[in-house]
Amino acid sequence: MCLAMPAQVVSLDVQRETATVALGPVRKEISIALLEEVAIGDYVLVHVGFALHKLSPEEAERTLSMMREAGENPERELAEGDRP
Amino acid sequence: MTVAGRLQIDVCRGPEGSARIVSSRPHAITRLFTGRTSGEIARLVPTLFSVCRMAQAATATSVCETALGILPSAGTAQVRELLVLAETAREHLVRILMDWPRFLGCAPDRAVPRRVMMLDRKLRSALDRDGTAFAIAGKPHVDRDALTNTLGDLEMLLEAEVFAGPAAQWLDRASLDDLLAWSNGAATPAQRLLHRGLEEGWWASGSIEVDPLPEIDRVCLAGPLLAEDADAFTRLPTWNGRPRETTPLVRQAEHPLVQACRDGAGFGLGARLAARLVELAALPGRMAALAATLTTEEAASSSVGRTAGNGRAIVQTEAARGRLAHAIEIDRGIVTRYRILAPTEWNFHPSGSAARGLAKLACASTGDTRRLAELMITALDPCVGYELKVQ
Repeated sequence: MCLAMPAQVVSLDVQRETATVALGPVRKEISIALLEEVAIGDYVLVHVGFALHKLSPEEAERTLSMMREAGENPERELAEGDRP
Repeated sequence: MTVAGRLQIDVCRGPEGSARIVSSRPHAITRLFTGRTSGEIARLVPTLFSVCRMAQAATATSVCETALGILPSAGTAQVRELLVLAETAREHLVRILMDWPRFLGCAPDRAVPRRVMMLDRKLRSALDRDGTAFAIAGKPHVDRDALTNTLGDLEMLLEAEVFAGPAAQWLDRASLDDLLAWSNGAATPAQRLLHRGLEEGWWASGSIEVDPLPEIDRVCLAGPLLAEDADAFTRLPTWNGRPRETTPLVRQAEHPLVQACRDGAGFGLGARLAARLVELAALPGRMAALAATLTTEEAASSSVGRTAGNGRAIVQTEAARGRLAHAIEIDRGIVTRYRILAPTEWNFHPSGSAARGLAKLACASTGDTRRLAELMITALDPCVGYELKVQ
């Protein structure tokens, strides 16, 4: 239902416009083609393999804790979600 | 099952072609909302539902206000509507500029979608300088100069990257010949994809009789949406016993160009692509007209009214992908029930438009079924990821 996962950027491939994001132990390569400036350490919202927006660490944590509160597993979501 | 869920779509080719759609989209997430205040809901929804964030936020705030008997000012309502329209433009543009080039076998020019996202941020900032538009009884501050300039930028982007001319003029096209003449220009991905459709013979592929979601009175919708067993309805919604479609095609079905597509080839792939372009082309004009009315009333200085809220409300919003509905029950300031019905549930119902259109594609003896199936899914635009198997 239009949900996106927050994750932290841990590496960048500027040439390919991709980033590796992390959430807990899960790592995933995503496209950063829709964002202007992304830096290592930024939090981004990931939806079907694309980073949609940047968000603050506090916003990211708040969203993740709400998802966990709903009994969901955001790490698994990021791992199983689509690639760009 | 994952938080966002996904669609499993299996297409079987042959004379008895079929398509099976299974959704793993969970609906338990709205349980998070019970036991909270309306103010918390208004903050929570845009954080969680971040893809159609503006439509979700507008619907959530409005449903809370209605249940509580709060009437936002006309200016606030206009700002919220403008924010949803800006999001619709962004979503259509991202599909057209990122997804459509893939079907032409070429990589998208990624600088353009990035400009789209930047424009979207500028529009949001112009319309809601201090981020209060979706607070309960919020009074957003509008930066009129920035809004006018950014709407001008949006028009220029549409002209250069999609319509190869002014969007408002593009809307005057009313026949397939007009569309073919335009697509011959081949200057933008939209022109090239429509040209292929018209020339390669897949324009009418996946053509079905569309069963549109009608206007539904909120009292009528309250029955199934606020029922004890509403999960069954929100997972597999039907209206008068039939799954319905709520998409840009349904919204634009009366436009002369979409009518010409239907008369020439039925509601197939081509009509769906054309309807998205029609909706996009009209958006700058709609937004400029709404923005012009804001000059008579400053949202931030207008007053908030009261009505007799009865703690129960349904609000429907036309989001980018179709109609979104939220339902709420509040008792003494605390939410006791909250439901969301998203357009993907209608459009990707196992017997709905996507399934019927894909089954029609699967019956065709020629053509690249997988490519056309992907185009059909993109045209109906689910808000979750999907896995497609073609046998």
